[in-house]
Amino acid sequence: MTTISQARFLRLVVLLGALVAGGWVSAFAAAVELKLQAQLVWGTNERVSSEAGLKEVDTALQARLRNVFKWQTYYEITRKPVAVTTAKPQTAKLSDDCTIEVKQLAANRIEVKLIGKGRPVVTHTLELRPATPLVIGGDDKNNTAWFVVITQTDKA
Amino acid sequence: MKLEQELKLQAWLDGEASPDEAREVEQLLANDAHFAALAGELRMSKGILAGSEPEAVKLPESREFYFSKISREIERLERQPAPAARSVWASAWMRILAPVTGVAALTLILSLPDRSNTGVDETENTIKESTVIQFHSTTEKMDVIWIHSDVDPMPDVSSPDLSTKPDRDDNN
Repeated sequence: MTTISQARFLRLVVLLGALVAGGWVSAFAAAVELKLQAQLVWGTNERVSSEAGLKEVDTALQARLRNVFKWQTYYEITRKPVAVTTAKPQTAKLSDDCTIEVKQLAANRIEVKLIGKGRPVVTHTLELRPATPLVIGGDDKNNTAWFVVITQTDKA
Repeated sequence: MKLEQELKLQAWLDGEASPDEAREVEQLLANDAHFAALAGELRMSKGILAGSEPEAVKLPESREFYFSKISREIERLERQPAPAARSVWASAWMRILAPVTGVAALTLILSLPDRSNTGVDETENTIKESTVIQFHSTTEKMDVIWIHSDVDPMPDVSSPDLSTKPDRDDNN
Protein backbone atom coordinates (compact mmCIF):
# COMPACT_ATOMS: atom_id res chain seq x y z
CA MET A 1 0.00 0.00 0.00
CA THR A 2 2.82 2.38 0.81
CA THR A 3 4.23 2.07 -2.68
CA ILE A 4 0.96 3.01 -4.41
CA SER A 5 1.27 6.45 -5.83
CA GLN A 6 -1.37 9.02 -5.10
CA ALA A 7 -2.51 9.21 -8.71
CA ARG A 8 -2.83 5.44 -8.97
CA PHE A 9 -4.81 5.31 -5.73
CA LEU A 10 -7.19 7.99 -6.97
CA ARG A 11 -7.69 6.06 -10.20
CA LEU A 12 -8.55 2.98 -8.14
CA VAL A 13 -11.10 4.95 -6.13
CA VAL A 14 -12.71 6.35 -9.29
CA LEU A 15 -12.89 2.86 -10.79
CA LEU A 16 -14.54 1.43 -7.68
CA GLY A 17 -16.98 4.33 -7.62
CA ALA A 18 -17.94 3.59 -11.20
CA LEU A 19 -18.44 -0.07 -10.35
CA VAL A 20 -20.65 0.80 -7.38
CA ALA A 21 -22.70 3.13 -9.57
CA GLY A 22 -23.00 0.33 -12.14
CA GLY A 23 -24.20 -2.05 -9.43
CA TRP A 24 -26.83 0.41 -8.29
CA VAL A 25 -28.00 0.94 -11.86
CA SER A 26 -28.16 -2.80 -12.35
CA ALA A 27 -30.11 -3.27 -9.12
CA PHE A 28 -32.47 -0.49 -10.16
CA ALA A 29 -32.96 -2.14 -13.53
CA ALA A 30 -33.91 -5.38 -11.81
CA ALA A 31 -36.59 -3.50 -9.88
CA VAL A 32 -38.31 -2.32 -13.08
CA GLU A 33 -41.89 -3.46 -13.19
CA LEU A 34 -42.73 -6.29 -15.54
CA LYS A 35 -46.11 -6.05 -17.19
CA LEU A 36 -47.61 -9.40 -18.03
CA GLN A 37 -50.92 -10.71 -19.19
CA ALA A 38 -52.43 -13.97 -18.00
CA GLN A 39 -55.16 -15.67 -20.00
CA LEU A 40 -57.13 -18.73 -19.05
CA VAL A 41 -57.97 -20.50 -22.28
CA TRP A 42 -60.15 -23.50 -22.96
CA GLY A 43 -59.39 -25.68 -25.96
CA THR A 44 -62.02 -27.85 -27.57
CA ASN A 45 -62.97 -29.42 -30.87
CA GLU A 46 -66.63 -28.61 -30.32
CA ARG A 47 -68.23 -25.40 -31.47
CA VAL A 48 -69.77 -23.65 -28.51
CA SER A 49 -73.00 -21.78 -28.84
CA SER A 50 -72.64 -18.03 -28.91
CA GLU A 51 -75.14 -17.95 -26.08
CA ALA A 52 -72.45 -19.25 -23.81
CA GLY A 53 -70.79 -15.86 -24.12
CA LEU A 54 -67.36 -17.29 -24.81
CA LYS A 55 -64.96 -15.33 -26.96
CA GLU A 56 -62.33 -16.97 -29.07
CA VAL A 57 -58.77 -15.90 -28.42
CA ASP A 58 -57.25 -13.58 -31.00
CA THR A 59 -56.51 -15.07 -34.37
CA ALA A 60 -52.72 -15.03 -34.02
CA LEU A 61 -52.70 -16.87 -30.70
CA GLN A 62 -55.38 -19.27 -31.94
CA ALA A 63 -53.23 -20.14 -34.95
CA ARG A 64 -50.16 -20.68 -32.83
CA LEU A 65 -52.04 -22.89 -30.38
CA ARG A 66 -53.60 -24.89 -33.21
CA ASN A 67 -50.15 -25.54 -34.67
CA VAL A 68 -48.90 -26.96 -31.39
CA PHE A 69 -51.95 -28.67 -29.87
CA LYS A 70 -54.66 -30.90 -31.27
CA TRP A 71 -57.67 -28.73 -30.44
CA GLN A 72 -59.26 -26.58 -33.10
CA THR A 73 -60.92 -23.81 -31.14
CA TYR A 74 -59.58 -21.89 -28.18
CA TYR A 75 -61.85 -19.76 -26.03
CA GLU A 76 -60.65 -17.08 -23.68
CA ILE A 77 -62.23 -17.62 -20.27
CA THR A 78 -60.37 -14.86 -18.43
CA ARG A 79 -57.71 -12.28 -19.12
CA LYS A 80 -55.92 -10.54 -16.27
CA PRO A 81 -53.09 -8.03 -16.28
CA VAL A 82 -50.24 -8.90 -13.93
CA ALA A 83 -47.62 -6.33 -12.97
CA VAL A 84 -44.72 -7.59 -10.87
CA THR A 85 -41.48 -6.28 -9.44
CA THR A 86 -38.82 -8.05 -7.48
CA ALA A 87 -40.31 -6.56 -4.34
CA LYS A 88 -43.94 -7.15 -5.22
CA PRO A 89 -45.15 -10.62 -6.31
CA GLN A 90 -48.63 -10.79 -7.78
CA THR A 91 -51.49 -13.22 -7.51
CA ALA A 92 -54.13 -13.39 -10.21
CA LYS A 93 -57.34 -15.37 -9.88
CA LEU A 94 -58.25 -16.60 -13.33
CA SER A 95 -61.26 -18.69 -12.30
CA ASP A 96 -62.83 -20.17 -9.23
CA ASP A 97 -60.39 -23.07 -9.47
CA CYS A 98 -57.38 -21.44 -11.05
CA THR A 99 -54.96 -18.95 -9.57
CA ILE A 100 -51.43 -18.01 -10.53
CA GLU A 101 -48.72 -16.46 -8.39
CA VAL A 102 -46.01 -14.58 -10.28
CA LYS A 103 -42.68 -13.48 -8.78
CA GLN A 104 -40.00 -11.48 -10.53
CA LEU A 105 -36.64 -13.03 -9.68
CA ALA A 106 -34.43 -10.87 -11.90
CA ALA A 107 -34.83 -8.31 -14.65
CA ASN A 108 -36.43 -10.76 -17.07
CA ARG A 109 -36.74 -13.86 -14.93
CA ILE A 110 -39.99 -14.85 -13.30
CA GLU A 111 -41.44 -17.68 -11.26
CA VAL A 112 -44.98 -18.76 -12.02
CA LYS A 113 -46.88 -20.95 -9.59
CA LEU A 114 -50.11 -22.47 -10.82
CA ILE A 115 -52.68 -23.30 -8.17
CA GLY A 116 -55.67 -25.48 -8.99
CA LYS A 117 -58.48 -25.87 -6.51
CA GLY A 118 -56.24 -24.47 -3.80
CA ARG A 119 -53.45 -26.95 -4.45
CA PRO A 120 -50.12 -25.97 -6.04
CA VAL A 121 -49.94 -27.84 -9.34
CA VAL A 122 -46.68 -26.71 -10.86
CA THR A 123 -44.03 -24.05 -10.30
CA HIS A 124 -42.02 -22.89 -13.28
CA THR A 125 -39.16 -20.41 -13.44
CA LEU A 126 -38.20 -19.00 -16.79
CA GLU A 127 -36.34 -16.26 -18.61
CA LEU A 128 -38.87 -14.12 -20.41
CA ARG A 129 -38.17 -13.81 -24.11
CA PRO A 130 -39.77 -11.27 -26.43
CA ALA A 131 -42.98 -12.45 -28.06
CA THR A 132 -42.59 -15.88 -26.50
CA PRO A 133 -45.55 -16.72 -24.25
CA LEU A 134 -45.47 -19.33 -21.53
CA VAL A 135 -48.28 -21.81 -22.04
CA ILE A 136 -49.20 -24.09 -19.16
CA GLY A 137 -51.83 -26.63 -20.10
CA GLY A 138 -53.48 -29.84 -19.15
CA ASP A 139 -56.29 -32.24 -20.03
CA ASP A 140 -59.79 -31.29 -19.06
CA LYS A 141 -62.99 -33.28 -19.05
CA ASN A 142 -64.73 -34.37 -22.28
CA ASN A 143 -61.53 -34.42 -24.31
CA THR A 144 -60.95 -30.73 -23.87
CA ALA A 145 -57.99 -28.87 -22.41
CA TRP A 146 -57.26 -25.82 -20.32
CA PHE A 147 -54.40 -23.43 -20.88
CA VAL A 148 -52.88 -20.59 -18.93
CA VAL A 149 -51.09 -18.29 -21.35
CA ILE A 150 -48.70 -15.76 -19.83
CA THR A 151 -47.40 -13.09 -22.16
CA GLN A 152 -45.12 -10.13 -21.51
CA THR A 153 -46.99 -7.04 -22.63
CA ASP A 154 -44.57 -4.24 -21.79
CA LYS A 155 -41.93 -2.96 -19.43
CA ALA A 156 -42.91 0.05 -17.36
CA MET B 1 64.90 -21.33 -58.03
CA LYS B 2 66.13 -22.49 -54.69
CA LEU B 3 64.27 -22.14 -51.49
CA GLU B 4 67.25 -20.29 -50.04
CA GLN B 5 66.98 -17.67 -52.79
CA GLU B 6 63.25 -17.27 -52.19
CA LEU B 7 63.87 -16.72 -48.46
CA LYS B 8 66.51 -14.12 -49.29
CA LEU B 9 64.04 -12.41 -51.61
CA GLN B 10 61.45 -12.33 -48.81
CA ALA B 11 64.05 -10.90 -46.43
CA TRP B 12 65.03 -8.29 -48.99
CA LEU B 13 61.42 -7.22 -49.47
CA ASP B 14 61.05 -6.91 -45.70
CA GLY B 15 64.23 -4.88 -45.48
CA GLU B 16 65.91 -7.50 -43.39
CA ALA B 17 68.52 -8.71 -45.89
CA SER B 18 72.22 -8.05 -45.34
CA PRO B 19 74.09 -5.98 -47.94
CA ASP B 20 75.55 -9.15 -49.49
CA GLU B 21 72.19 -10.82 -49.65
CA ALA B 22 70.68 -7.63 -51.09
CA ARG B 23 73.27 -7.54 -53.88
CA GLU B 24 72.68 -11.20 -54.67
CA VAL B 25 68.88 -10.64 -54.82
CA GLU B 26 69.25 -7.58 -57.03
CA GLN B 27 71.47 -9.59 -59.46
CA LEU B 28 68.88 -12.35 -59.56
CA LEU B 29 66.11 -9.83 -60.22
CA ALA B 30 68.06 -8.41 -63.12
CA ASN B 31 68.90 -11.76 -64.69
CA ASP B 32 65.99 -14.02 -63.80
CA ALA B 33 62.57 -13.06 -65.10
CA HIS B 34 60.88 -15.77 -63.02
CA PHE B 35 62.58 -14.45 -59.89
CA ALA B 36 61.46 -10.93 -60.76
CA ALA B 37 57.85 -12.16 -61.20
CA LEU B 38 57.95 -13.83 -57.81
CA ALA B 39 59.26 -10.61 -56.30
CA GLY B 40 56.31 -8.74 -57.83
CA GLU B 41 53.79 -11.19 -56.39
CA LEU B 42 55.41 -10.98 -52.97
CA ARG B 43 55.33 -7.17 -53.09
CA MET B 44 51.65 -7.21 -54.00
CA SER B 45 50.84 -9.67 -51.19
CA LYS B 46 52.80 -7.59 -48.72
CA GLY B 47 50.86 -4.50 -49.76
CA ILE B 48 47.47 -6.21 -49.43
CA LEU B 49 48.29 -7.66 -46.04
CA ALA B 50 49.78 -4.47 -44.74
CA GLY B 51 46.69 -2.54 -45.92
CA SER B 52 44.36 -4.98 -44.19
CA GLU B 53 46.04 -4.97 -40.84
CA PRO B 54 43.82 -3.33 -38.23
CA GLU B 55 45.10 -0.30 -36.55
CA ALA B 56 46.28 -0.75 -33.04
CA VAL B 57 43.43 -0.61 -30.58
CA LYS B 58 43.65 2.60 -28.68
CA LEU B 59 41.48 3.10 -25.58
CA PRO B 60 40.06 6.60 -25.26
CA GLU B 61 41.02 6.61 -21.64
CA SER B 62 43.26 4.58 -19.40
CA ARG B 63 42.06 1.52 -17.53
CA GLU B 64 42.61 3.23 -14.18
CA PHE B 65 40.65 6.31 -15.20
CA TYR B 66 37.80 4.17 -16.55
CA PHE B 67 37.40 2.21 -13.31
CA SER B 68 37.78 5.33 -11.20
CA LYS B 69 34.76 6.79 -13.00
CA ILE B 70 32.70 3.72 -12.07
CA SER B 71 33.83 3.98 -8.46
CA ARG B 72 32.92 7.68 -8.29
CA GLU B 73 29.42 6.97 -9.70
CA ILE B 74 28.84 4.27 -7.07
CA GLU B 75 29.87 6.65 -4.30
CA ARG B 76 27.61 9.39 -5.69
CA LEU B 77 24.60 7.09 -5.71
CA GLU B 78 25.32 5.95 -2.16
CA ARG B 79 25.42 9.58 -1.01
CA GLN B 80 22.00 10.36 -2.54
CA PRO B 81 19.28 10.91 0.11
CA ALA B 82 16.46 8.37 0.47
CA PRO B 83 13.21 9.20 -1.39
CA ALA B 84 11.21 11.80 0.47
CA ALA B 85 8.43 10.50 2.64
CA ARG B 86 4.89 10.81 1.31
CA SER B 87 3.49 14.27 1.66
CA VAL B 88 1.14 15.14 4.47
CA TRP B 89 -1.62 15.76 1.92
CA ALA B 90 -1.24 12.32 0.41
CA SER B 91 -1.18 10.67 3.83
CA ALA B 92 -4.36 12.44 4.86
CA TRP B 93 -6.11 11.42 1.67
CA MET B 94 -4.93 7.86 2.11
CA ARG B 95 -6.38 7.78 5.62
CA ILE B 96 -9.75 8.99 4.31
CA LEU B 97 -9.92 7.13 1.01
CA ALA B 98 -8.76 3.73 2.24
CA PRO B 99 -11.86 3.09 4.40
CA VAL B 100 -14.08 4.78 1.81
CA THR B 101 -12.73 2.42 -0.81
CA GLY B 102 -13.39 -0.56 1.44
CA VAL B 103 -16.97 0.57 2.08
CA ALA B 104 -17.46 1.23 -1.64
CA ALA B 105 -16.25 -2.26 -2.51
CA LEU B 106 -18.54 -3.80 0.11
CA THR B 107 -21.48 -1.72 -1.13
CA LEU B 108 -20.75 -2.88 -4.67
CA ILE B 109 -20.85 -6.52 -3.64
CA LEU B 110 -24.08 -6.04 -1.69
CA SER B 111 -25.75 -3.94 -4.36
CA LEU B 112 -25.17 -6.40 -7.18
CA PRO B 113 -28.41 -8.15 -8.09
CA ASP B 114 -28.85 -11.70 -6.86
CA ARG B 115 -27.79 -14.01 -9.67
CA SER B 116 -28.42 -17.21 -7.75
CA ASN B 117 -31.73 -17.74 -9.52
CA THR B 118 -30.45 -17.24 -13.04
CA GLY B 119 -29.93 -20.15 -15.31
CA VAL B 120 -32.03 -22.51 -17.33
CA ASP B 121 -35.78 -22.73 -17.06
CA GLU B 122 -36.88 -24.99 -14.24
CA THR B 123 -40.13 -26.73 -13.49
CA GLU B 124 -41.23 -28.17 -10.18
CA ASN B 125 -44.11 -30.56 -10.26
CA THR B 126 -45.90 -30.49 -6.93
CA ILE B 127 -48.52 -33.15 -7.71
CA LYS B 128 -47.07 -36.63 -7.41
CA GLU B 129 -49.80 -38.26 -9.46
CA SER B 130 -49.12 -36.09 -12.50
CA THR B 131 -46.42 -35.89 -15.11
CA VAL B 132 -45.08 -32.61 -16.41
CA ILE B 133 -43.78 -32.33 -19.95
CA GLN B 134 -41.83 -29.20 -20.83
CA PHE B 135 -40.88 -28.15 -24.33
CA HIS B 136 -40.26 -25.13 -26.48
CA SER B 137 -41.96 -24.73 -29.82
CA THR B 138 -39.43 -23.00 -32.03
CA THR B 139 -41.86 -22.60 -34.93
CA GLU B 140 -44.58 -21.01 -32.82
CA LYS B 141 -42.18 -19.38 -30.35
CA MET B 142 -43.79 -20.56 -27.15
CA ASP B 143 -42.67 -22.32 -23.99
CA VAL B 144 -45.06 -25.10 -23.06
CA ILE B 145 -45.61 -26.86 -19.77
CA TRP B 146 -48.04 -29.73 -20.21
CA ILE B 147 -49.46 -31.41 -17.13
CA HIS B 148 -50.69 -34.95 -17.61
CA SER B 149 -52.44 -36.63 -14.75
CA ASP B 150 -52.09 -40.34 -14.15
CA VAL B 151 -55.08 -40.38 -11.83
CA ASP B 152 -58.53 -39.13 -12.42
CA PRO B 153 -59.56 -36.57 -11.56
CA MET B 154 -56.56 -34.27 -11.38
CA PRO B 155 -57.03 -30.90 -9.76
CA ASP B 156 -58.77 -29.05 -12.55
CA VAL B 157 -57.68 -25.50 -12.99
CA SER B 158 -60.20 -24.28 -15.51
CA SER B 159 -63.33 -26.37 -15.74
CA PRO B 160 -65.27 -23.70 -17.58
CA ASP B 161 -68.84 -23.75 -16.62
CA LEU B 162 -70.57 -23.03 -19.88
CA SER B 163 -73.83 -22.32 -18.15
CA THR B 164 -72.48 -19.16 -16.56
CA LYS B 165 -70.97 -16.07 -18.08
CA PRO B 166 -67.20 -16.16 -17.81
CA ASP B 167 -65.28 -13.73 -15.66
CA ARG B 168 -63.66 -11.08 -17.84
CA ASP B 169 -61.36 -8.28 -16.86
CA ASP B 170 -60.06 -6.68 -20.01
CA ASN B 171 -57.71 -3.85 -19.32
CA ASN B 172 -56.02 -3.70 -22.68
